[in-house]
Formats: sequence, C-alpha cells, structure tokens
Amino acid sequence: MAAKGGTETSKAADGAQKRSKSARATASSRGRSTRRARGSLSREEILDGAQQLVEAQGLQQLSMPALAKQLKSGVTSIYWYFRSKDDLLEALTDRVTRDMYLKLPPIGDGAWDDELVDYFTAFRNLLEATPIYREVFAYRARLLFTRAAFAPAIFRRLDDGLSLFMRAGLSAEQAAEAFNACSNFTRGFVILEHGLESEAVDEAMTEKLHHLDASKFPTLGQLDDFERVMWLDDDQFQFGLRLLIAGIRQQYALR
Amino acid sequence: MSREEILEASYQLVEHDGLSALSMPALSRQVGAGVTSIYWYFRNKDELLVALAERVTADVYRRWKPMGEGPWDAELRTSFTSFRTELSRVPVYLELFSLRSRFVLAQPGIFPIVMDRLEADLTQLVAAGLSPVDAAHAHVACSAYARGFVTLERGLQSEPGEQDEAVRAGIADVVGHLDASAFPVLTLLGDLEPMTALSDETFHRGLDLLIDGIGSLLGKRVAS
Repeated sequence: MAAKGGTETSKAADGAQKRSKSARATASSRGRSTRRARGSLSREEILDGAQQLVEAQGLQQLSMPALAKQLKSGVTSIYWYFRSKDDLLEALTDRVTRDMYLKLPPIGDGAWDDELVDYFTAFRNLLEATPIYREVFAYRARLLFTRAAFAPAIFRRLDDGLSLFMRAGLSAEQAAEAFNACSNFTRGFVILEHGLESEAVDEAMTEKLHHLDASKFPTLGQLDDFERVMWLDDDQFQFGLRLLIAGIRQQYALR
Repeated sequence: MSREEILEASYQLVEHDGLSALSMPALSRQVGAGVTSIYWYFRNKDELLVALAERVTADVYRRWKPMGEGPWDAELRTSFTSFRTELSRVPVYLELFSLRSRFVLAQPGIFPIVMDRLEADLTQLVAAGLSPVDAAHAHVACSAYARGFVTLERGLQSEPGEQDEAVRAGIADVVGHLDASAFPVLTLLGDLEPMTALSDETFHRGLDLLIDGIGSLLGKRVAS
C-alpha cells in the first residue's frame, strides 16, 4: 500500500487534476441541476471534496452527509470507496501527510542551529500555507504515527530533526526533549496566529496600539515599533525559536 | 432580570460548550426568559461577547500572578506557570486568549488591563538588563508558548475515537519495527513519547529553555 501511495503522490499534481477535470466535464454534460450518477465520482474527487470541506470548515465538520452535499452526490457513492468516516479520514490524512512531506526540504550540512531554524521555519511555513496541515499536524499529530502506510514519511522528517540535535552534541534522549520543546512552540505559535480573528479586529488593535499614551507606559513607550512587537509574525517566531536554541546551548552546556 | 444574571448565564453556557454555543436563543433558554429581556441589555451577540470577554479577562488577571520583585528568571517562570494554570482551568479562557486574543485585546475595557500588566513585567525585565525590544519579544514569546501549549493539550484531549493508551502502544509498535539504517535516531529512542508528550514536565522544560535563552541575551549585553 505504501508503494502504491508513493506512485500516486508523484503524479498527484497533474494526474489528480486531469482526472477530476474529465470527471467534471462528464458531470456537467449531464446538466448541473441533476445529481451525479452513482459511480461517476472517483476516489480522488471524493478526497478533493473532503479536503476542500476541511479547509473551509475544519475537521469537526467533516461528515459523510456534509461531504455528499459538497460533492452534489449521494452518500452511497462515497461509501462505495470509503466504508466509514474513519476510512475517509485515514485516506485524507494519508494524502495530506505525503503531500506535506514532499514539500519539506531535506536538512542541509550547515551548522546545527541554522539548520534547526530552517527546519522549523519550513514546517511553520507549510502549516501557515495550508489549513488542513494545521488541522492534522497541529491538533492531531499523534494519530498520524500509527498509520503504517504513511508513517515512514513522517518518521523520515522526525529522524532528520533529531539528527540535527545530535549534530549539536546531544544524546538521543536530550535530542527528543529539545525537539519536543521546539515542535510544541512551533505548532502552538501557528495555531495562535490563525485564531478566529477578523481583519476588522486586527485594524482595531493596531489602532489602539498606535495611540498608546507613551507617558503612562514609560517602558513600552521606548519601543519604536510597538505595533509590530506585539504581533505574532515571522520576526517574533524567529526570535522565540532563537531563544529556545540559545536555551538548549545553555542547558546542555554546548558551545 | 439583571445584566449580571444574563452575563452569569452566558458564562455558564460557554463554560462547557465553548463560544460557538453562544446565541441569543440559546441564552434565553438558559436563563428561562424571553429574548427581549436579553436585548434590553445587549443589542446583539457581539456586545454580549465583549461583556463576557471583559469578565473573563478580569477573572484571569486577578488570579494570574504578575512578576514580583525576586530574581527575573524565577519570577518569569512563576508568572507563566500560573498563566498556564489559569488558561487550563476554564475552556472559554483559552478560547478567548488563544483563538480570539486580538479581539479581546482590542476592547476598550480590556486593553488597559493587559497593557498595565505588560508594562509592569517589561519594566522588570528591562531592570534586569534587557533592552526594551528584547524584553517585549521575550515576553510575547513566553506568552505565545504558554497559550499555544495549552491549546495543543486541549486539541489532543479531543482526538476522536482514539484511546490514549492504544495510540501510544500503536506508535511504540511501529517505531519498534523501523529500519535502523534509515532511521538511526528514532531506532535509538525506540519511542516517540519524549518527542511528542504534552505534560507538566514538557511544559516546564520548554519554558526553562526560553528563559535560559533570555538569560543568554543578558550575558551578551554584559559582555559587549
């Protein structure tokens, strides 16, 4: 199953798209208002639909009826490929994981601390870019590890990350501890950045910070760019990660 | 029906079911009164949400220990440990402070409370020798770490259909069968638990690393 999955992924970008395009053409030739005929949906199309649903509304909203509605098809066509919601979820997670893994750059030969910043920054950027990665990796990471079909993709990534700490001179146990701290910081940071906020709220807050009365806040008043300092952005992420790395150097007596 | 009673009822409503459960009809069922008596005090759901956020912020900031006069690193550790305890105590606290923190902060009734605390903490850190910019970044880093950590913990608790022990055993089994030449470090570890655990112990370790990192900024300043 792992081998088959690998082939699918390598073609994912063009293959899946072509498949769904031709299927869409077939469906529209029958008229938009009518339901699709049973069996006219491919497995990939169902997964596309599920991914869109999760990206728009979150994993909680994924159900067979909701998906059927999204795909404008009957629930039975979905059950043709997936026996249960768990089956579907597993296939979806499988796809997302392989997808994400393929986009993550491998670790380089540089100094361990620079490589670590790159490693977790790449991880964060991918979580930032794709909502479903956040859903799966940020909240439900442990579920991924037990899925034999795609665990190797994740394990490759984990082992790479750990090896960077080993490069720094940590033992395997220490590497796991330090990795844990950096990983929790990164995942938590991304979740906070993508809270349930609206742009109007961001504007209101920027406005408030902009008009802060410096005479009442002598320390805060010394900051040139106070609005930005409070923000959870790239700079703040890098700063936090560098603090952790400096802490690791200190705690494990590294140079 | 008083404003306080309505607020209390909406607090109880979201305490267990989260903010998404808050609606005027749901609230009127909770208080056993018509929707009109609620609209008397709150013109819409947003106004209610703001009042609720004000109350929650007051609660959290009353219990959350500010940094005291002791050594900055111990004070920072105590303060953010207490922050995490507060956020873990009531689900809606976390929801407001993690997922809607900017909405909360932007409220006129809340902004000064948050800023006063931040100013006091930053003043301590600056007195310890940090530049104001580093102090602010460091404080935000600790805050983001604590809020993010509790959010991850909460997410794990609600993983659907998987028993913690079963997941753990499954992982150990998979890792146990890894190819040592392809995954040398994981094979050495034999378990993912130390890398993934969200516990009191791992929270404190991460916080200590951040604080040691902040300490190293101080070292640099003294040296230069």
